[in-house]
Amino acid sequence: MAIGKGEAATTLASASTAPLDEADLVRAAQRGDQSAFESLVRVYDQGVLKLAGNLLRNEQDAFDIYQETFLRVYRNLHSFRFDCSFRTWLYRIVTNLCLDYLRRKKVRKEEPATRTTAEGEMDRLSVVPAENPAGDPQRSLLSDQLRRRVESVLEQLTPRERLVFEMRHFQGMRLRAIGEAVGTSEEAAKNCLFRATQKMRVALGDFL
Amino acid sequence: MNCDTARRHFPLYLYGELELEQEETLEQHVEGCPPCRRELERERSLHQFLDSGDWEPARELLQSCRRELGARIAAAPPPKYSLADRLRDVFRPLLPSRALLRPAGVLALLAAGFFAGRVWDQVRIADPSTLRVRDLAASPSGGVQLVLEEVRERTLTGNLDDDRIRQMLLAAAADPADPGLRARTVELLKDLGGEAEVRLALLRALERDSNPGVRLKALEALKPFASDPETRKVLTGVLLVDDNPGVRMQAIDLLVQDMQIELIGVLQEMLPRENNPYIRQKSLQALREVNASAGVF
Repeated sequence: MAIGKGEAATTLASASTAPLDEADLVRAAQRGDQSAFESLVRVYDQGVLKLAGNLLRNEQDAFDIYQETFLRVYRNLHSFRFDCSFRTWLYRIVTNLCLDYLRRKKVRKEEPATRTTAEGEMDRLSVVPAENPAGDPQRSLLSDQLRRRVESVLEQLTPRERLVFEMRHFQGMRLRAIGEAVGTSEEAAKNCLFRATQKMRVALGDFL
Repeated sequence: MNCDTARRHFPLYLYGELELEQEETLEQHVEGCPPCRRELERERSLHQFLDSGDWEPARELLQSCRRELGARIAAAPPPKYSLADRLRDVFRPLLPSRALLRPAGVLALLAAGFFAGRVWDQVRIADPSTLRVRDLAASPSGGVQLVLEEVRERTLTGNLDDDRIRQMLLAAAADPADPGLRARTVELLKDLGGEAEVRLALLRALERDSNPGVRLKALEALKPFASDPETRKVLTGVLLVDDNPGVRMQAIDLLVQDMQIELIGVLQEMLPRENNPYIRQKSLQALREVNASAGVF
């Protein structure tokens, strides 16, 4: 049987942990309860990895950001004072790490968008294939072109615009929560999102 | 609302971020303005196009992130919950406001620091590494009372059916500090795999333990349960993502013992990226036996 995405990973966690209030989990983890910490990780780690992958467009970097984020959470959880939700606190950590990375990347030589493998030239980030890529080759080609274009437009956004866009569009976070996580106002997050979508509308005009 | 304002609001409208009143005004405008209606449709298409830039992490990547994190945390020193943190927790509910909290907290911390220093001088005679503050309370006289937890070695003897022994073993099977202890514990637990909590601990070790030796011991212990659906699910995950070929070899052995139709897709998915000749040969043989193609590669 082909197991579903994340199924094997979550089987045991779901079987072994009774539903607990998140604040209780955080408190238990603060007292050193490893399984509570693990449960917290499992609630959020897919989202963290996805955000890092979407922003950095490189699996190795997403892997590194994931590790650094949760190690910081582990080391600093005792200082979390419930002044905001755990999720906001966690996203502050991951967004700061991603922003630092994106800013550093801006001043570094840009990495090529593709890499050479045994199978030929491939994207640095393997994107989940379409439902039925072989079904309609023309459509598949178009969606491939579109994806590349979207990725190249995303590269042109400022780190902050990109972050806000990713969090709103792909993570489904509300602008208020994004503002809290990024350390800015809801209004500023709104403006960021507006600028990002406007830039993308201009760049993708011929596809629309 | 004019066209310009309406169009500026389109992105927020599509993200559901407009106030209800703004949303209604916008909808009214769009209804009566064909150019804005077309523009809104274009904006909607843009949203759909942008979805194609989404990236979902592969299960293997997530698994390897979790495994690496587990190993790093096991190697990291335990995070400290300091005396100051505890004091802050104790005093916070006693005080009416944050404004009052600050000076009172400072005084309390000073007092506690003074007394804790004196207490610590005394307990330092014992081995401080075996002590931790479990609880504390401020006394009316301004001092502080600490409840110390002292770690002492003690021997517990009993049979495996003794519940206390069992619980200690289950905890030892997940002790991040000592892989050798985990391996010996898993080996000891193997005769109890028929019991749900032990089986769960074995599956947990197989799926998550960072040490391949422990994972192999867990596999060994799970052999009698190779037909159990939960065990097969974990074995399948191991076959697909475990980075140790020895573990994957054991997993394929157990899975093909009882060839089930669901396994065909898993083997077909795995074969193109599996380099281990033994696993490849076992998989191909299993597929041949059920007249399935190795197909996808």
